[in-house]
Amino acid sequence: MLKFIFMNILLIAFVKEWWFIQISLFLMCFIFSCFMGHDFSVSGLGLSLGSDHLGFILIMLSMWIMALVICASQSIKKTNNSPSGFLVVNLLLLLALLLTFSATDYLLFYISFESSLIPTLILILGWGYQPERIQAGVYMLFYTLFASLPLLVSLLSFYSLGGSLTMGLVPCAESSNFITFMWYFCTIFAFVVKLPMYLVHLWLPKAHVEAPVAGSMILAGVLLKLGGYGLIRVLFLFPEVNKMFSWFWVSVSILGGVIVSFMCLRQVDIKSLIAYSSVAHMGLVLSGLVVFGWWGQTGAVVIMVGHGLCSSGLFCLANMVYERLGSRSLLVNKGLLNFMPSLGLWWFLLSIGNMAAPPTINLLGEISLILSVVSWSKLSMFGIGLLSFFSAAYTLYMYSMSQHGLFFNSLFSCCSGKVSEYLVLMLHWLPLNVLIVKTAMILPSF
Amino acid sequence: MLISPSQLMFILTLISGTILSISSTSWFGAWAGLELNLLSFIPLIITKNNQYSSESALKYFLVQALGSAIIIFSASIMLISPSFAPLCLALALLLKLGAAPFHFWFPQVMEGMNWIQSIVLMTIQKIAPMLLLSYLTFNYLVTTILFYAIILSAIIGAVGGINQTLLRKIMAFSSINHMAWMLSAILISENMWTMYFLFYSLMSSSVALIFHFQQIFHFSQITSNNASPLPNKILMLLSLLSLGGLPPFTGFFPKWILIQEMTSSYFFMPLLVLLASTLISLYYYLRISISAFVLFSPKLKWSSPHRSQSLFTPLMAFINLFGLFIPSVFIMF
Repeated sequence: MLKFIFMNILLIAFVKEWWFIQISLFLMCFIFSCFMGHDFSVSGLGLSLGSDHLGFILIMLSMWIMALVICASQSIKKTNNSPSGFLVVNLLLLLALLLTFSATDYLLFYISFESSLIPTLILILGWGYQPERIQAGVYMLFYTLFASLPLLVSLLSFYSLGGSLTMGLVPCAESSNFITFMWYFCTIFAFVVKLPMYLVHLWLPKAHVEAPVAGSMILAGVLLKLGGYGLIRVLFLFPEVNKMFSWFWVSVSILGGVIVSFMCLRQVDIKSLIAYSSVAHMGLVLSGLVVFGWWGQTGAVVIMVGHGLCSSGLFCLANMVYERLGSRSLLVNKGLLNFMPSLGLWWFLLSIGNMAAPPTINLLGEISLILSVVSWSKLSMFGIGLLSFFSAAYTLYMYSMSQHGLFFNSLFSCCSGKVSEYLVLMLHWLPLNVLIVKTAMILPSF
Repeated sequence: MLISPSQLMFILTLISGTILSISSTSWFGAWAGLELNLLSFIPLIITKNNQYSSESALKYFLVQALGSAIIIFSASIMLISPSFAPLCLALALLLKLGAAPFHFWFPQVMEGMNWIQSIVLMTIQKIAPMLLLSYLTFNYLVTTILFYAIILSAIIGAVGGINQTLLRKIMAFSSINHMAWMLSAILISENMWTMYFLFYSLMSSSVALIFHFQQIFHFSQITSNNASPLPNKILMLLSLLSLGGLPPFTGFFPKWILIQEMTSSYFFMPLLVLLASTLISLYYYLRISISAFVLFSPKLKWSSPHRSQSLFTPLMAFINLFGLFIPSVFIMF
């Protein structure tokens, strides 16, 4: 693992050259993918770093998304909006993510989990759009910090209990008394906020709306997955308490997902619509994880990858429209099919990806999650049915509002899309649809 | 920064007062050391070109003299009433520290000082009273009082700093908040206290030095001070976040160790308050740095050009930011 971390650190020295960084990130991703022959055991161990299949997939995802982020933020280079500072912040964020996903020690995981906040904050404050970005940044920082300080206490209690914080060596909290119950909530809450679950999701739309495209892409693509990853890492430490409380998480996340889908149906801001749709998807991931099933966990991992690619692509599309029209409102961005017919295809392909339409891995993930949650309780069928129906509905609403109808009259000319933009979208879409051909790359198949 | 010979002498007597008081075997010796320390800090506070300095020197003298008087009083009744005297001593030492129920003088005194004097007030002047407090922790009542002081200092240090616009006051409240952590470190062990204190001194003096070299004292000076380049502002943001204890920076390390020790000693209630107050204090640190980052005001003709910094500030800031990467240095604690 250290070789990739060093590569990342050394890239910071070359931030004056945008193209070099962009190409090197793709190269890094390629080299990392050459280590795929790990057969789902832990690989690259050393210096308390290492990656099992889960870490591998998410490291791969974060490298890929980061390379695409650099590609999609060309306007920062063109307008000379301190591009080298931007690259430094992004590379530091990638470094934090690499450390988070490859840490084999809970404390190192915690430290790097937290340190990914600061580059994100600087990204939002430094390259965001409106003065409200201050509020959004502070909101994000304090929501996540408020939730994660108890996590530190609970991890250190594990240390004083078992004498080690190495993943897999930490003893489980078997009992189910009040203390364990508090402990469980302290541990879970940080990840639930990061995921985010409905009720604690308020920081996410704000942060997305105010963040630059890079911030949104990395937030939806990887940072939300930190929550899911953390849950997978800590949930099994509380086998008894989690069984007692899984009904709570499942009902809040599924019903919350339905409510959030309703909220999506009346959004006029494209970015906040996509942000709310992430909350709905992540609710499904959370319910799949807490029911403690193999299908649920694998489905959650697949959805995390699929949603990372898909929503990051949608944010990228929203930014392309924003760069041309100067607005993210669906009332202004209508009838885009007249202006950008070829981009309409990408809107369609990524929208159906968000709906979990057949060739995408989102479908695979949703099928496994639905299987797992429904086999846990038949009652959840209603909620899940509503959730998947309305998630199709709001995606259709977004597609149809933005593409169909009469175009906005004050717009008289716009570029229908550059090759680099199509390339970025294609690189989002291709893994989303091709990975289903070889699902063994993301699904452990024992 | 030039030091006059008299100032040099007073600095030496200040330090020797501290050393005398922490190494004496009797409360009388401790009292003498504290007095020496106080009387040599007063001339250091008074500067000619600051009209508030004499006011803050007077306030400092009155409060510390009261504390010293109570210390010598309770030291002398130690033989008569051994249960009451430690209580009195602890309260006097808390007064000398400026910990929470007795904190009112601390921001006001700090307001009249320049940054270098503030650094001395925030760091060196804390050593002697805190170490003397650590001798009193055998007493159950004193421990209870210390718990209350911890909780109150945490809350007041956090809440008091929110509405301030003077940076020295903000730093004073942050110092009160950190004092809560240091007091809880004393309850665990002296090594913990030493560790936390060293880190706190490093962090707070690095932040204060950054302010000192840009001569920023007021909130509005940060925004109008656009002569300072962007890297300086980022340095300020990150140093403040380190002071707030955010993970990848050095400031996280003492918090981490202390939380670890507190969880293994089952101090969960104070820990809860301490963590909550850390979040609030982080809010006002962030408020300082965001205004530096985001608001740009037109450049004024008379705004002083950016001063050249000494080599010391970047060095301190470097240790402040990257200390966590060399943890083996700190394992000795």
